[in-house]
Amino acid sequence: MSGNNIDAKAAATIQAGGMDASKKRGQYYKEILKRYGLLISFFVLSLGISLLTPNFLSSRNLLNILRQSTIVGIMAIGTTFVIIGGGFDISVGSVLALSAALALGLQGSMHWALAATIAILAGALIGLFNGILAAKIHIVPMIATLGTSTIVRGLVYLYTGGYPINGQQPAFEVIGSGYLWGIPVPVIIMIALVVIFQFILSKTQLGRYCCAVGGNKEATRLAGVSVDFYHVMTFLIGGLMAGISGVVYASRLSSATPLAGQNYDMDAIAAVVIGGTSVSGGEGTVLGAMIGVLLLTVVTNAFNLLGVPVFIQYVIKGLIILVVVGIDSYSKKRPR
Amino acid sequence: MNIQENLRTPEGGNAAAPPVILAMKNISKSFLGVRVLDNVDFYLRKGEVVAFLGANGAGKSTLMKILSGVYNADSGQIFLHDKPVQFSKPIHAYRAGISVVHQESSLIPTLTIIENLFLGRESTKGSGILNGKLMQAEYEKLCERFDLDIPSATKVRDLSPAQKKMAEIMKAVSRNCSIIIMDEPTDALSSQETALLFKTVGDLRREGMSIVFITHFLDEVKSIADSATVIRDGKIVAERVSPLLPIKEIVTLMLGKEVAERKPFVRAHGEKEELVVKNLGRRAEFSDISFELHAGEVLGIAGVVGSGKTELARTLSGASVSHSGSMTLENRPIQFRSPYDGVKHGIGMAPEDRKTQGLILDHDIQGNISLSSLPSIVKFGCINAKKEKSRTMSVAAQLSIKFASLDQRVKFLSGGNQQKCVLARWLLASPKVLILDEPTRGIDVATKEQIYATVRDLASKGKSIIYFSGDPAELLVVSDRVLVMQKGKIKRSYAIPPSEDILLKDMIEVNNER
Repeated sequence: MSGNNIDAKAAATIQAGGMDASKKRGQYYKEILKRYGLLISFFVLSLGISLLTPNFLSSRNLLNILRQSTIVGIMAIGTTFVIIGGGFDISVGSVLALSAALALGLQGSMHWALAATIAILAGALIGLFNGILAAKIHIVPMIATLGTSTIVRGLVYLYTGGYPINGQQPAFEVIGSGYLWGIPVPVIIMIALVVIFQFILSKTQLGRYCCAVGGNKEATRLAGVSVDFYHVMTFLIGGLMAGISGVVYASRLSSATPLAGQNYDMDAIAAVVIGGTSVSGGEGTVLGAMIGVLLLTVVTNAFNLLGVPVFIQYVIKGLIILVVVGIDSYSKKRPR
Repeated sequence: MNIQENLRTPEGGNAAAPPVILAMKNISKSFLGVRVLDNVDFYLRKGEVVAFLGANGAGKSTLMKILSGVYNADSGQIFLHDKPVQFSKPIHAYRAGISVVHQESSLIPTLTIIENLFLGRESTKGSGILNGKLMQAEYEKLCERFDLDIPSATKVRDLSPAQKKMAEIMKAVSRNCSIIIMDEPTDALSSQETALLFKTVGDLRREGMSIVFITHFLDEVKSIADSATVIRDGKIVAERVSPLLPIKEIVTLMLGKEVAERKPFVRAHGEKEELVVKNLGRRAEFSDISFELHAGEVLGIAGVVGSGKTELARTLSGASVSHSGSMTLENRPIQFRSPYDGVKHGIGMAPEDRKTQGLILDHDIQGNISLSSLPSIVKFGCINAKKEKSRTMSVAAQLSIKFASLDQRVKFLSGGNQQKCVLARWLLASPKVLILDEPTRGIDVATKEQIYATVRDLASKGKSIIYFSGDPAELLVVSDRVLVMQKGKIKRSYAIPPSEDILLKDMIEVNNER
């Protein structure tokens, strides 16, 4: 009869009370895994690849990987802020193209430094626009930035007339292709930006409020924080970083095509999420995003060394993203 | 076993009484070691309306959630039509014929009324194509039965609150249920709408439906229920008593005779007016709210769910904007567009729902506590980590929050400790006026006492506190003065808190002009 059934259930519930300690320990391991799992998998992967391809560990190849990471890497710094703030920005690829086109195009009539500054500010301005659409007009960020992305891409075509802009002032070339103490300049720029923005994220009021907005916007609002301002700031930083990465891109390739930066936004988002930033916002690190970028570059690099066709690379990259995001989302939404 | 014989009925097993269709026996349930239901028996006969009464936290919604399969009982059995049943999911209870009309609407506002009614059981010709005619015919039959005239293509968002409630009931009835649980159905209804609802309930009863009617408004009980069952502190204290019992006696049953004695707090508040509110109103929520708040005073505002008290708390703090009236703080007029303005001027609020509005659950204790006071520990935009830690540590210790370390995520804390985190945030930010909305909801007794003591302590240091609560007992403990809100208006104001039963009566009786 069902009475026994209920008794058994009650007994199980009582026993469950005693399982608290082991449950807590499980939680602890889970936190550790969450914190360092990425780093561990990064090293395991690198080790595996270095065994498969002897060329992988050569300093030339390693520096190459670092340099290849810089453009998406710088972009991912901004994307980290956007996602932590609870948003998404898929316009940064187009912003890169605009910034690159401006940086090269304006050099014809002004000093390269001024041209680069204007290019970067244009990125920040578009970020500001995105932020206002998302925070003030309440358009879902994905759709708002989709609209912006199309507009900006159109502006790039208008500005370039559909042709690549080539050529740069010699001093400008240093940004993308120069070396300092044997290290590529773009790598130094990226590391400097990572340090600065990791500091902003974890040690300043701005960073703290960006996290709070993404964690629970309403609770943060009720605590007396001007949440809209900080929400907009995350997008502004996103646009600013895309602007900088556009300048690095222009200098490195010494050419800006209207199609530049396509899919870079997706790579940046993937890197940020692989780097442990929660898709639902509220927490994450710039450092994690950097490891995410490196991981993606290493995978691409290894595939190239191993001669895996590009088309298969797309499929595998997509799968990696889905698995990482899937684990994060599933563990959060699963009913307790 | 035969339930019909084993039941202990006040009528003494009257043979003419309709059969018992539902019996819940010896139901017990605990949450986090706190016993919420203690060997509760509850039964229903065919075609009767039982009013199920109890104060906040008495256990009435827990019992109903067990009946509808939302919770599983720790022990006890449920018999439906003499057969033992076990509902581990809401769908099981629903398939067995138990429907719940929730306090909040479960209808989808963007769909039409007919789409809502047939949601999940659309008539198709077996091909997946909807059979509109069949559903339309059934809908018209339902409307006739309920004496309603709503075009079937009306979107639910365009219905009035009463029509929505009726649609919910129609949805329940159309699914061949035998038991309907109505949770505070008259909360948002006007008196005409309530009358219409009562007529419907009467019709359903005549058709043989059994109804559990949960309400705060005690004067409704005698006009609708066949009997009343009262629950207090997880125990049934009056089973199937006459609904004609005087309200005073029902209140006594709900509260219990002995009201615990506490040593009185020192109440000495200054005469300085801190906050003056004049004719404050917000469309469809509350209107004509006027009061003044002195420095060093705790003003209690009593009201049941739906009385407009939460909306008032939000408006006072800037979380919502007011549509009419004015406020002055220390003789300066103020108008808030956001809580940011509120906090800047020195008004802070701990919201009703700490999980969704009070805390960032995934963040650590320290970040949650320091959230409102960051500007005071920031230099050139950088957070002074040492100051942040020492200050949060000191308020956390003051409230004796139990934690392993300050970087523990608040979602792993108990409800009481979570609430203390919200309170700690405001202790740290130290606003002139602190608004607390149901600060002790769902919290154990010891923590409650601690919160009362903290509130009194703040008042003695010259802070002003507005304490919103639906629990008359705690208002007597903490407040210097009490206002009673009902249906969006201040109904009564007491310079000295009256007794618990008078306060409760004021909150739940609609017409008791004295």
